[in-house]
Amino acid sequence: MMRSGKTIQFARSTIIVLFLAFGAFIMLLPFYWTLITAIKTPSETGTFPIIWFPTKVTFEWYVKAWSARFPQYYVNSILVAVAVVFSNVFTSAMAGYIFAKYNFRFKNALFVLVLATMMVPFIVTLIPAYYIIAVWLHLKDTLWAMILPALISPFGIFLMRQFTSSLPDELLDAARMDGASDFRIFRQIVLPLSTPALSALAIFHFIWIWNDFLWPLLVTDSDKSRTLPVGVALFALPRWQQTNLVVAASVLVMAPLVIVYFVFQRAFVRGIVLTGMKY
Amino acid sequence: MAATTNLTSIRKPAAKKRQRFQPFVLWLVPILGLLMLFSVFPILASFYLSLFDFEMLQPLKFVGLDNFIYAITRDLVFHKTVLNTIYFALVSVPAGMAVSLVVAQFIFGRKYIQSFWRTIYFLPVVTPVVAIAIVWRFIYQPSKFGFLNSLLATLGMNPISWINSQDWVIPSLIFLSIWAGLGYNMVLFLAGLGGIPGTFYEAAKIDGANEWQMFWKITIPMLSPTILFTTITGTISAMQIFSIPYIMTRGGPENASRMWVMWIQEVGFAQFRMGYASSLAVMFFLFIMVLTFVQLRLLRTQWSY
Repeated sequence: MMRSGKTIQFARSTIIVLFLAFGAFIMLLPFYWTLITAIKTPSETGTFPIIWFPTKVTFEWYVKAWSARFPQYYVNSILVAVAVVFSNVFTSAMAGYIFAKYNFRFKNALFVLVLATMMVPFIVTLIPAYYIIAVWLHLKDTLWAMILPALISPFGIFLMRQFTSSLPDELLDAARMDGASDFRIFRQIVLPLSTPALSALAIFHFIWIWNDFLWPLLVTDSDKSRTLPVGVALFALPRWQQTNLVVAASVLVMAPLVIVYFVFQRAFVRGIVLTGMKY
Repeated sequence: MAATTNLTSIRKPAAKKRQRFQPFVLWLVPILGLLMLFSVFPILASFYLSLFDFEMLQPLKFVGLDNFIYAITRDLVFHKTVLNTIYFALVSVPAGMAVSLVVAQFIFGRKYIQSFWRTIYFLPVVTPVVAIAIVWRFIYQPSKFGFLNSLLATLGMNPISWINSQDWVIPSLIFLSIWAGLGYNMVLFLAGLGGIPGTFYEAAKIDGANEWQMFWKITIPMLSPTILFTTITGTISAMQIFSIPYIMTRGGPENASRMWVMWIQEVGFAQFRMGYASSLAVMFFLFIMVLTFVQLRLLRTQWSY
């Protein structure tokens, strides 16, 4: 009885582990294919049977892809991401704090407005936003076209309001009594205490802006302002026949995020659970 | 002394505080100003423009509801995109949730190994979607030398034309999106599972419940907030699918994978019919609102405990 119970238990967990291992195999297989294809020679690519371990390794594709304006795309992506992440951390914390701890006229109406814009799919704002950037502000094909509309986020404001609401009023009042200015309280008390939420917000915005495709596709016309996703998509377009080259180029786009992910893995997962936001 | 000079700024109880205007609040002006300019105003403008014929830099021409009537009665491509989008969302969201729930259930509680599995399953979530689309375009290559077809051949199966076939293209996109989104839902489910008190299961065990019963009678009802949340956000994001089909198929073959958002982009930015594109966007917005409302009602009544 005891024995058979243990056997069943063992069989059960073996099946589960086999299932998970098979799933993990499917999850990782495309990545493995990507990595080997990027270093294969064309004669070993797209063969049957599949060559799982290339006999001849070449870095030619990486070199070629890299020299095709990729440094420029990297610089653009990094500049846009840094500006957007810093701005969002600051403005979300600031607006969230004000909504949480200050009283003023139309406060509730304004906050409802923030919530309402949060619910609206991006595509609904697309055409007027494009018109504002291209015709009114003449910012098309500049990095500002991607930075300016993303400087603030209703979602970030909402998240930070929820978070700063839980900060004790006594703490803020104590600082005020010691003569700290409002801005100093914000900078030296509210910001440091909000670090967990802010780091989740920063990660979320970084991934989101780094991967954003539709908007940069519309507002960029030349390599001087293209970000990595747009750059690689347009790079691939006339080169679909050159499998190795295009795959190597897409590795260049994946690499930064995947490396950051492996370093800050826990923060990523915590970020999702906290914000519940889809990248 | 500092104490005396600051007496005025010492706060009295809340009632008094409300009266005085605090200049710090003015920081909201630039922040909400940007929100007005790039969110509130464009939303209203989309509704407004949907009633006009509008090309970039051309004067507006009022056409009333003609754009909507044309879209609903005559634009066959639009009909196709709506059906494609619904088909995609209707299958990929529940299927993706079921798969990620099973994986989460299996991973959950395996102390050290949990983070090992989680790392692997989560990897596609952080991979840029454009890069995923490019790589999978090769994986789905329809010739018998495409990666997936070679795998099938290794197993003795016939090649499938995947994204080149009108029947297979959306299932291919669905499989890809489940693969890419599994880790995201899984992490949310893991958090939800962690919130279920262990005593529930212990009590059920004493009452003689088996694993299967515990899963359906405890786990699923206790996860209902997470399921509600993932259903709604998952549906909204599935409905907005753009990058993957845009890169992999350009909407082909024969519009078989053209999606709602792709059609808005095409009409607005390739055909420059921005008024008409706005009307498609407004319909998209209304559709999502109704869909979310219906989901809230349905799922709420189902779990009204």
